[in-house]
Amino acid sequence: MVLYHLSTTYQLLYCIVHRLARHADEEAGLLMVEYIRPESEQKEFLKKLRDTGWFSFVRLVPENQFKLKRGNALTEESSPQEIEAVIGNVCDCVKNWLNLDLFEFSRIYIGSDQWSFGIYCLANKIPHVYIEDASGMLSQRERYMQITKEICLTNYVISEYLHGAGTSEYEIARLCDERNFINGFTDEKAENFSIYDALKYDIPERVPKILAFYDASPITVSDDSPVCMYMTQYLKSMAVKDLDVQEQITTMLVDYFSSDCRLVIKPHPKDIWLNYRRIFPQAVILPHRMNSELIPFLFDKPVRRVLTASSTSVGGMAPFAQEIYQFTTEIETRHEHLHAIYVAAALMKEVSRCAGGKVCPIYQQVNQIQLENFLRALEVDTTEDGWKILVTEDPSLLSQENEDVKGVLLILDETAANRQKLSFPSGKTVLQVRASLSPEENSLFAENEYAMYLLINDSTIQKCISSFAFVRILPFSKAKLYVQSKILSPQEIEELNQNEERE
Amino acid sequence: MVERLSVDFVRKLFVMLTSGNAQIKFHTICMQNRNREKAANRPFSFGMKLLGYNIWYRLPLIRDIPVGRKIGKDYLTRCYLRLPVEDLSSEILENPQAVCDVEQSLFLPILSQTSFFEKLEKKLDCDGFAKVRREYQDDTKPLEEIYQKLNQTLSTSFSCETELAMARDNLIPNRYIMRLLDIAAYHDVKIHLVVNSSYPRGFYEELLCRNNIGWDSLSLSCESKKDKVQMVKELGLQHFGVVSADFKHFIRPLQKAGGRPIYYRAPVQLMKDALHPGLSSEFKEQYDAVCGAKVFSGKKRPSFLYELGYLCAGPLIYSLYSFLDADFTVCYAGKYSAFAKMTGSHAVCIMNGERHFPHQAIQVLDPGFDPEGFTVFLEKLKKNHPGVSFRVLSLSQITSRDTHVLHSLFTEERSELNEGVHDFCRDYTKYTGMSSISLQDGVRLYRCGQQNMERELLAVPTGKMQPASSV
Repeated sequence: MVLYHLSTTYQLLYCIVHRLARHADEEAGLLMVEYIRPESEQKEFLKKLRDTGWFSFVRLVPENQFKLKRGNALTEESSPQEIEAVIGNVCDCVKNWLNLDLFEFSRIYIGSDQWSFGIYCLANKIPHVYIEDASGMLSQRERYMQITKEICLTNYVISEYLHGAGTSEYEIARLCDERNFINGFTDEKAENFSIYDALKYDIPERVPKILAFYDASPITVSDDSPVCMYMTQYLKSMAVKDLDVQEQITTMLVDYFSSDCRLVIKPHPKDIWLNYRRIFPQAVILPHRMNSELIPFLFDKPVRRVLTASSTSVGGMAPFAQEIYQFTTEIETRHEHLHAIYVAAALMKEVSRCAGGKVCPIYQQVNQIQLENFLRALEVDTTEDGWKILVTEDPSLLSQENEDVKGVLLILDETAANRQKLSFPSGKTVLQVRASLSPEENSLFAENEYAMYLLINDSTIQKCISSFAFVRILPFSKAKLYVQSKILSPQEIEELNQNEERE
Repeated sequence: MVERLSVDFVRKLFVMLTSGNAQIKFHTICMQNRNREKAANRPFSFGMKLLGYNIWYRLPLIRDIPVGRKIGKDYLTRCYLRLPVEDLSSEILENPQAVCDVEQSLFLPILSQTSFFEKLEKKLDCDGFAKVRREYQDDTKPLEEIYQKLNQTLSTSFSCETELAMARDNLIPNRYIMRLLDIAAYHDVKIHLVVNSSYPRGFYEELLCRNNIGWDSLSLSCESKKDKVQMVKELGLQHFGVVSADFKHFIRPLQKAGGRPIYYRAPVQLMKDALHPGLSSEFKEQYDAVCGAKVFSGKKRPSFLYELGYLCAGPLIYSLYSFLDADFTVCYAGKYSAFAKMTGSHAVCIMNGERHFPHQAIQVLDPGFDPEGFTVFLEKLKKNHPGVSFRVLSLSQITSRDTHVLHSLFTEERSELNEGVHDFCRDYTKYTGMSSISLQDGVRLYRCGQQNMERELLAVPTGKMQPASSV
């Protein structure tokens, strides 16, 4: 018999599929942290899960009750004695409640080992298999621990103290989706298991029953437009826990990356606070409870584009979608800067047009992923032997001499208060680009201005590039982005070089 | 001992100890929000504190003493710590229906009714208008009917449109409650809005649409001739939440009728609960409304430095703008400084004395951050403007206090204090139609917070921003 412990909806599907694919001939027990469902839904949910017959027993770990008995909450300053006292209390709670001989199980799988059962196993040196928290999350331990810290500091402190969360010596293996590891990450204990692969190739006959358990019905998108699916995130695991910011990021990404597509929203299972029906009245909103990993088995046609701010769930869609647009977590803390990056990409497209060929961006001190995503969306062809442009947000690189580089694109920080000193080298053509964001009255965005400078050696494109100007309407963000440009005169360059520091 | 009690029993005890009256309800929840682990860590001391709140906030007069609630002295945001809206939403999602009274929760009025009528009187330029309008005010009568009688009495022909236009500008949409209702609507909770008002349905419908607020029913006292509690009772709801800032006249009676109370203490009330320095009454009313709505609605959880910038330094800088606007002023400040961003057309921020201005008289502001540089600057300026009369204003003389905490406003450094100042000036301009603030009021508020600004700025290195957490 095997035993699974989990705390998230991703892990639940993971465990169901793993149990059916890898332990089909064995019995299996399931422990779940009670927070997996709101109190009012727990009874019905448990019944439904038991009725499937997939698990011999299903129990909810009463974390709320344990919390009252575990003693003081811990902080990062807590002494080892204090931490051990809490661990001791947690272990007592689990021991009294569990009533199972763990050594009878052939394998114990633990997801989210920062909760009581995980603490119990780690503290008692019980060998187990660790299950990552989300697709590929094993490779992002720092991000995962930060989320754990924000959700429950005590759990975080204990997890660090016991070296849990994918680093314990008592983990005999780590179940994970290796396809979604961040580049370069390896783990010698990693044991690859992908929900998509298992459902598609190992147990396709089980798919209908699993879909029925999740009340997942086939998704038909009525018109012939290509589908863009936006994968949302759980607010509490984002860097800025503000619904307005989450809405801003969502509308902005949809405006920039989904304008030519039929929009389908897949809310994160815990993303229950943002009213997508109001924000995108024409979009298809999928049920939030359904795991994104099941989507490939529900759609009647492939999805053209999958879009997310920084959700790990795109991993599950990777085998199914033609294009994936994913950003780093920087988008959460500096989302309004994305407008500037968009303008920079549009400018590079214009350079490409004026130069009559492909461009070769060289990235320094700039968010490469954001820029590459925009270049891809704007269909800007890039190649290593193209027109070389150094793209940077560091003004000190303006004067960097490099014969190969035909242009330097400097993107400035939008806050004028943080204005950095500029120093343009002489003899270059300087195109000044100004973009201003003009929100409607009921927009969540505020007025903002962005500036960038393109330095070019190539006088042939000077005339062509000087007419770079356009207005981009952002309907869901309820704003317009006005972009204007001009070639600076030598006098204006001189003034900028003097930096206006006394003015 | 507590660990032996069941979770249900502890919850019931908590509900009993936290819902005595409006103040008990609000402040006990804030106490819990300040330290979410306290109940688990020190259940006995937490319980005793709850009991203490229950006694203190039941004692007439005593309960109104603003202990720990002084503007500029105490970190009020921490004192008034509401739940993040997404956490509060679990309460409204418990029932399939929710009722919300529009005033003081969904929309926050800037002026009281009396002041509003006085402002209207000035706009209409009609002596005695406010008094008659006040007399005829009746929430069960439509506005047009009120104006008919009023015009007869005053022998005028005013249209109610002027009042409606002004009333629209007198309301600040509350993004915290808007979010709460939006979350509820997303989960198919039916939203029933009620309002005691003589204004027409179209006025509220337009207001709600403009702010992307969805609703299922909207009941107006001027149509139904009933008050808001009666209107809710008439809806015949069985299971419903009650969102309101009116504890006594809305939450309580509807709680008795089976409603689940979700009390939202009005932001302006929180400002009134705090100790102010002596301020002119006209300014105080608008100051309380704007600061309450923008700092204590629950939408933001700003740092103390931001709060000081908003509540104390912001009014001083705004009053300075009001003062400087009378004459052409050259401010010795960076062109891209926070101060420069907000100056009006009569002021220019430069640090280059070589500039020439065509004015006969020039006022020069010395913020005091660079005495030597200012001397050189002034000399150059005078040299370039022979025959022009100069008047030098010193910020430290205006405030009669050390002003070094404000220096970053005039240079190009970033700080949360500057953000607070900027936001206050922006919001006060927007919501009061650019009402001026007297230097006296500005200086008094600045003095209240000066010490804490110094302390907080010492704790945060300049140029380093700490992320302001939001709700």
